Amino acid sequence: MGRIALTRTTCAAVIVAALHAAPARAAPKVWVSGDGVNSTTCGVTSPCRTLQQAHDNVTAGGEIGVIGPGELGPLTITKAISIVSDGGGEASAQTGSATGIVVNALATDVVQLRGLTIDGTSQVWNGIVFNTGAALHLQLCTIKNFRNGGAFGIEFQPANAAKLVVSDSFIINNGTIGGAGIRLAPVAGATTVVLERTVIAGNYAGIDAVPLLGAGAITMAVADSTIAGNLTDGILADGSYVPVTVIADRSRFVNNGVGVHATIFRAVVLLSNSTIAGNGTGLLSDIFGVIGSYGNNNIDKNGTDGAPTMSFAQK
Amino acid sequence: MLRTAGLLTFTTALAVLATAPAQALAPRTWVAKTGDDANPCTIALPCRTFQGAHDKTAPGGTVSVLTPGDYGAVQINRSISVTNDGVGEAGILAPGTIGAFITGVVGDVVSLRGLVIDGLASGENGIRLGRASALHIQKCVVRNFQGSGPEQFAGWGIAVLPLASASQVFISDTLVYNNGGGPNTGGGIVFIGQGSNSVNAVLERVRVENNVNGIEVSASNNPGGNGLHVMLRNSIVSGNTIYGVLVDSDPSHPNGHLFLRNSSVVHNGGFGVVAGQAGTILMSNVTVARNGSGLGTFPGAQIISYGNNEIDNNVGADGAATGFFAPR
Repeated sequence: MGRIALTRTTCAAVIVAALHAAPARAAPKVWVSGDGVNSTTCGVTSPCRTLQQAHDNVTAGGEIGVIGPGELGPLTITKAISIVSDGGGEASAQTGSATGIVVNALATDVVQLRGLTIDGTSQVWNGIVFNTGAALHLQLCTIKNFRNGGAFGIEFQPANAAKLVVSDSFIINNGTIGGAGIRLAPVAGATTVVLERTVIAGNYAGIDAVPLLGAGAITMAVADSTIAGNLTDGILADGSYVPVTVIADRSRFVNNGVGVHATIFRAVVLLSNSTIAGNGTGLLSDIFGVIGSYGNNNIDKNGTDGAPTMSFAQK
Repeated sequence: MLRTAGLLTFTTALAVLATAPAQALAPRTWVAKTGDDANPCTIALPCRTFQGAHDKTAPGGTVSVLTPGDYGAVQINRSISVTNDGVGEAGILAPGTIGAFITGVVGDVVSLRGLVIDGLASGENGIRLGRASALHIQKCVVRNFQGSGPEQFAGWGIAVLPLASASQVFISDTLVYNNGGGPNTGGGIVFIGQGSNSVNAVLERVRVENNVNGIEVSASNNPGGNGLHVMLRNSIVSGNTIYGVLVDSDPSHPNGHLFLRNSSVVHNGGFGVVAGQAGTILMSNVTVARNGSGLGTFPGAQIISYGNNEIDNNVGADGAATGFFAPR
């Protein structure tokens, strides 16, 4: 009798779980194509038309593969997922009427985007807005032309501890009066950022690291990257509320309004093997913001070069 | 805020209505080798040429490539991206003409990605910037532009000659080879400041090889401007017949600058690195070897070293920097 009851309970649990996990045919790998047709399968021979439809039909932790080029529409991500376009033609989340990609995932979810173009087509809105999730990995992506006054290529504003990892990507031509290539404005929790082989150019500001009151610290590593031709700050570390630490190695901050800007004493930018040239002002430290140098940077030919506020020895 | 957005949309809609051609311009168009320029350039009915697709694309939009093929020379007169993300070779054959000629307005941003632009020995320029605020060139090949006219500066692979305002140029992961309009003229990449127009450029992972000349930065006709500031990093300038890199300026306004870092200038026939009239070159972690001569400096010019370059084993004189800056 006890065994029957247990079996019934188990069956009921399974059925309930299955109902909640609808759609019934959710798969761990689904496909999209610019000439696809939306369905609940998104199979390799019957790809879906939009990233949103594919997202809604893939299991958490699964992957959306891009099988044919196309304009695959804006997307809101609510679970751990990978979207991968490995050179089968341009895979675009182009949008003239919405944020390109919004991430509202669980605090434990990791999201990966690879090989996508996210294009604002000179219209309003933002490229990527990250609200919740454990991590966002961008590889080989282009985020451009979000030209609203205050538009951001990436607005990273997690309400939980989160990581942003960007490699081999281009973030260009975002913002007109205000806005930035990347804005780091966490609401709560510590934020870790890595930028590698990435170009942030021609935006209103390059990178604004401006954590809000109540957020955790921001720790950021920049390597082999180019922050160039942004109208205002190439990178701004704002220590108004919590520590903001930026470690930049083998990178260049060139032709910006200000190359590197550290404001308020909790902000620390450490530079090594980097070039700061052609900016209106090279290094700008105010209200005791710290710009440290390992003594091996080229800081010349700016309107005003500025100077590191601290020296660090190589060990 | 919402009201503002709505108003903006409404205003935009009015503007579109006021200026709409018979067929509305699309934010994204497509080309394919089986396409037809009579098509609307959709993914199902793609166009055949870049020009055909460009003409049907709204400012701020993108022309994207569906299949490998040759898509013809294009004159770009608006903000636009032309993108090939790995479908196979997307070519522009431009004998006797300019591969991609950018003649937009101040404020335009143009992007070219994944294109192979070939002058077939008689082309004038592979890519020419006449007017735009920013030009992004990524993962392109520019070769065989050896035409000698009628365009001024014919025979350069990439020619940046802004006619209005300041221009930003970004070139990465690009190969420029076998260009040059004559035994001494033309070459890989040229930046010319005209009048008061300035140029800020960043070149990264660029190879400039086997041209007549390598890279020229000329501010000699730029007496009133903010000058030219060109940064070259992680790049190779090799095997050019005459010089590797050359910078010059107007003596009364020495505002032509080239900053070399982590790069190699090798195997060029003449000078590897030349600061021509009143030009300024800064060098850090650069190899200058096996050129006809290493460093050359004209009167009023300067080559400033950070003391960490390898300038050795050139065929003739290695030459020397005129000054040193300390790393900080």
